[in-house]
Amino acid sequence: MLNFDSVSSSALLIGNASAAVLCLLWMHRNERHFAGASEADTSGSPMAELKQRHDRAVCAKRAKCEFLANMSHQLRTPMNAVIGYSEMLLEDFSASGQHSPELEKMHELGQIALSRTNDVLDLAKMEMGRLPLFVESTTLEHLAANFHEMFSLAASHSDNAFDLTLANASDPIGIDARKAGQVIRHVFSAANEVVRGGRIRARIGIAEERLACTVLAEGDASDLDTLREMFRQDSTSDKFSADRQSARLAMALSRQLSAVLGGHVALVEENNAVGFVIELPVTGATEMPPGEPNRNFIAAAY
Amino acid sequence: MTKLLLVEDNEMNRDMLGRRLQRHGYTMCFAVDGAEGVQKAHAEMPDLILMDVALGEMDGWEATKLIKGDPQTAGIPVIALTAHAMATDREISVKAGCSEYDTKPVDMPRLLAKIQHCLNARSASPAA
Repeated sequence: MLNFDSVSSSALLIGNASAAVLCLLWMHRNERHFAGASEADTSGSPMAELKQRHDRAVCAKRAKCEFLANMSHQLRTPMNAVIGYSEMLLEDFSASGQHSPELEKMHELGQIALSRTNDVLDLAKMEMGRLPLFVESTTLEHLAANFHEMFSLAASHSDNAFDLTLANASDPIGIDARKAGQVIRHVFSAANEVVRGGRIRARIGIAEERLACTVLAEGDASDLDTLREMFRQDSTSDKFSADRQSARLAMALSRQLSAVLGGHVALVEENNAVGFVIELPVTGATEMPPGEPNRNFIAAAY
Repeated sequence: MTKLLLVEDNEMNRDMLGRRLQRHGYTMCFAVDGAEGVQKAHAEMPDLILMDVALGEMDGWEATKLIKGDPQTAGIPVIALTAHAMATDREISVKAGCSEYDTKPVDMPRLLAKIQHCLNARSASPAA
């Protein structure tokens, strides 16, 4: 006999209300079977108990998302001051023709901490179904403006060589540029955190109403195996070591965000390289509403 | 000299953002909560208001509604600033009458561009 108690408890434990809903549906379809197997239940029918567990799971999920959103806020406020003051000091150094690697590092780490906080906030918003799209008129050139500098720096920290090529970069497109940039950044981060001492190539182009990005990694065979495995594992796997958890989070975020954008991320193998292909739909600028949607808010960072 | 009113309850963020904007040539005045923001909008008649939305008793949106509901201050553009970055913040900012919306930590070039955009729009409007 199926132990529905452990199934629904598992759903509760991982805070996954969707699993609880699926479990509830499954139970509903098999109600007759469970009606005859409820001797152990003393507090009502199995359906009533499962309904109660489902409601608790939904409440727990909501509480978790609210906690994450509030905690993100509590972290972002002081981070605002840290980043702002470090930028002021960098401006002072720059104005006097000086250079401070320590200060630059402090500022960079502050930005990384903020980025991680935003990732958690995005996950919470996706779980709550509150991650709306803000499609704006842009170009790949604009969307990827700082990719080369940002990715080259990160690649050098992992002892990876890096090169980036853009195609049709000046074509006007309509896309949620911030989220599209996040998907590409997360995929690059996942590859760059797993592969060390190798080479990472990124190709991004616009063709046939889609943005296509290929991130390929060459390197140690075991690193490439880890990349393959990471793509196949779901985001709740405990298989990876702590230092690769951020790569796993990046991978999970890139897949969820690409789905929000109507696209997908796929595993790709090319000669001796392993990597990921991102495909995201775009609209031509001519299809954008006149005057651009919410022009005053096109730079708002969600 | 262009005068900006910064309504921000966090002392460090008020000091940091105020000093950075002064460096870019703006004259700054400050308020520490929504009620003082409304009062300073009247007393100082700034060219633009930067309004933190999480301000305790009277939040930034409520203060913005009062500022926009008064004919004397209705024409002053308001840029809402929030660290929440939640989707609903943008919609609420629009409903409250804010001209722009931005998230914290601020991207200084982007914020400066938005300030200039609002100031230009105000000076170009017939009521200015």
